[in-house]
Amino acid sequence: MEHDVTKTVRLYMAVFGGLLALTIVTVWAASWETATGLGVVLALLIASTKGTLVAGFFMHLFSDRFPLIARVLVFSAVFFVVMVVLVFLGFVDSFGANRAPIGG
Amino acid sequence: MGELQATHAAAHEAHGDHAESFIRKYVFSTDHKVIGVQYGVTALVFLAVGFFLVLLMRWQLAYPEQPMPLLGGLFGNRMTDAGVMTPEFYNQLGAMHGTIMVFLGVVPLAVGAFGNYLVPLQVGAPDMAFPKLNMASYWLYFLGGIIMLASFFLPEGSARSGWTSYPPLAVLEPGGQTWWLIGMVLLINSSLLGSVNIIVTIVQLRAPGLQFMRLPFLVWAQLVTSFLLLLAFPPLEVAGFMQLLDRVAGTSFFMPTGLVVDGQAVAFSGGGNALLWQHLFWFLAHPEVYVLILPAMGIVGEIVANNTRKPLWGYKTLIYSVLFLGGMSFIVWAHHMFLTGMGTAISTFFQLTTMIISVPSIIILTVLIISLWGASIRFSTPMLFALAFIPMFGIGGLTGLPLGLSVADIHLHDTYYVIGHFHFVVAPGTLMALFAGIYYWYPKVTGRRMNDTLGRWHFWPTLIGLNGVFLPMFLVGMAGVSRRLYDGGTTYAHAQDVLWLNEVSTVASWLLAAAQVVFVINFFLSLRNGKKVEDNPWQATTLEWATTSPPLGHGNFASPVTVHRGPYEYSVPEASNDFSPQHQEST
Amino acid sequence: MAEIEIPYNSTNHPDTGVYNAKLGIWLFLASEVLFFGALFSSYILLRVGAGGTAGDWPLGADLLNVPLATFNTVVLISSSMTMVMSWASLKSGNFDAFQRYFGATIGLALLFLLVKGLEYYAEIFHQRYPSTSTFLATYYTMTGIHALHIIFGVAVNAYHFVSAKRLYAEEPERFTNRIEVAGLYWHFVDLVWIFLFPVLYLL
Repeated sequence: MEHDVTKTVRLYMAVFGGLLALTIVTVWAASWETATGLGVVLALLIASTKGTLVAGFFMHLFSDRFPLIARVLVFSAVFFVVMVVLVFLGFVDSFGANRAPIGG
Repeated sequence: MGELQATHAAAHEAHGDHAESFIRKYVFSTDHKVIGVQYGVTALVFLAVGFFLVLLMRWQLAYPEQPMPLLGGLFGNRMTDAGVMTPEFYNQLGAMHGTIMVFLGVVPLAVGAFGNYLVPLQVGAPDMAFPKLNMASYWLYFLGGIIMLASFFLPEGSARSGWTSYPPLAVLEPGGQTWWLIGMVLLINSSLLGSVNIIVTIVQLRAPGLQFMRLPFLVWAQLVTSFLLLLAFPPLEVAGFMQLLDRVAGTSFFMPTGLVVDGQAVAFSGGGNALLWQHLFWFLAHPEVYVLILPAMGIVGEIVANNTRKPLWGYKTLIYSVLFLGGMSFIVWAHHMFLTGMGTAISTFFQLTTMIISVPSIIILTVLIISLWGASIRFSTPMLFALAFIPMFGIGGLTGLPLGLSVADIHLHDTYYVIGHFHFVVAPGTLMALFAGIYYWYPKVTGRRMNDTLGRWHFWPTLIGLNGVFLPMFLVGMAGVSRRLYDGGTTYAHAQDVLWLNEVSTVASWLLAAAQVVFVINFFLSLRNGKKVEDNPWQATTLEWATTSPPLGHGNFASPVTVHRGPYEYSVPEASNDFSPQHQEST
Repeated sequence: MAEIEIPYNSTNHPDTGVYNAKLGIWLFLASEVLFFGALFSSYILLRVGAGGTAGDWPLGADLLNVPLATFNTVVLISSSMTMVMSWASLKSGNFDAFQRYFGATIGLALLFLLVKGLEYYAEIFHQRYPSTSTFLATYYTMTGIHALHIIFGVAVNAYHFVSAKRLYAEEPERFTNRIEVAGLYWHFVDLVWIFLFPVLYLL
């Protein structure tokens, strides 16, 4: 990518603009849609989009694809999801779980 | 590398001489071989300390309320009462025995020492990918270990809530628990640096021609182990931070609402969840079991191939099994928590995954056993230990199956049966393999062989002693006697029939201790008097034997090595020798 | 023989396509995913365990300063942008531009820490401590650990800023790689904040 510096710079600036815009959107969205299911989904969607922008462009995951690094990240992503989901399920599916499980 | 030197000069003070000082060469060294030996020696010292702690406990279990002979007066009034250890001291011994053995003894020996010393040599690299990080990793470990040990000398004593440190108890206990947590965070960071280093070394620094499917099995085992350390430890670090805050900042991450202790409500805001700790702890601690066992399997694989003079039967099967084992180990953790009120659906899931993960373990054992078939085995000292590993680990693994099924686990949970099970995995299992590794690579490190006669005097009493200690525990446990009882169960009616077995275990532990004295003598005597060896005394094929014994200074190989064949080409038909080293072009 | 040459220290490995430190930092970041993952996981469980009613788990906006945090988000995103620009400048051989952007990155990071400090000060002034409620405990812990990451990043960047001239003169290629690695870490810290901000302040 060093052969076309101006293009890269323009790309980074566009991503930066996008991130700023999404920051404003998320604050604005939260001001009328708080703490409901939709609000949570919306906020996390926006955050994920921003995260993808950072990881994809600033961290070059989109431009230089190395299967090795992608594989490592897939591993950790899978284990992260496993941790969240299984711990959560263990929490929900427990005797006396309606309020809080034993000890909680 | 002028630039690196410049960095050094900037990072360190202004000592400008380029000759390596003693400190740089042997204390703050960046050579993976020196660091490996540092790890090994430190870990062996910690193993000895952990073993000493348990010898004290075993006295109390076999002869409760009787003053400890010789040592009774040593610990002062705080820990003993007229020579009899106090319950508080017993709890400290138990918690610290587990912690020291797992986090300061076995893992640093298996990964820190064997991984550090052997991985760069076996992949034909001049050093680890990041030598300075490697040094930092060792010193973090050292510091963490010192903090753990130092906590014994606090006025309130060390951590005493078991090696698992379950809250709310661990949060409310006075004393060393805070130090335990700080030490733990240091150890986690140490293993993080170490595992990044090992993975990058294996991926990036393999010698030309050394494809992944030509790597020695030990390197594969270390690779998977490092991934487990890398991904499983961070949640415990988080949990450690949270428990630390619960203790020092009064937060309530693990403190439930309305907790009452001694008839008084505790001064916590509440709203936390004690089970969260258990989830985060076991998310690490179950993969940790495989961190303990995989390097051991790797060591046994190397030694079996070398001493049977045959290729390992099913090399690829071994590797796929290890990979599968590593991945699965992340989704079995809650089988440690069947008694926490988990629902049937989720506990069915964890029972299922637990049964599945036993399959690759059995495959690995089967591969190792079949590798023995039809061989003319060299019964060298390392091979004796490696052979003992196979059935011992088998017992440890198979006795784990009933614990993975919630119906049986409800009876056996937290009894001596569990203690017997996991000790069979780690002590007669992993430790036997680690001893095998020490005997096998001692000539590589020192250029001398350990004495074979003393080796046998070490092996047989160790094997008998370990079985004598841990086999009775299965019976005690099935009788329903709980672990962590200060008096070994004396006050319980259901324990009366099996109490005599406590004494059997204790006497066996003395035999075990005596056998280790032989090992220590052998270890030090052989440094001076051991038989000098040529570069490849075991006539082995892997790359660590392609250099001199002991290896040249920093840099390992005189000239870059190229690999021409797989790791275990023993007894190749038509070849001139019964072994064809990986770096040799023609057989 | 003080130091030895490690292969692929500054050049890309032909098979993997990366140099050692780049793989190393990505492995480290993979473990960081699990690290912050465990924090978020704990957050979810504690919040669900609190019963889910408004009384048990306060709305972040009621206790925390959303405008300041929004400002801080912008600051951190900007520093991420200047970080990637400083690397791009090095790539195109413009050392002066690199110094400007890199200095700005450090400056913005310090500004972030300053604002964060002000927020903590305001919370403590209103007698909202970590021990007050599980929400506040979570807030202090998550943002505190994130701030520790920022401080570590500032330290690493400051070292490179101070010794940039020398390192660049000696081995420009290697120094560019170092900045890329430092950048990857920095973007990750930014990325974590992108999730922390809505989770703690808005939901």
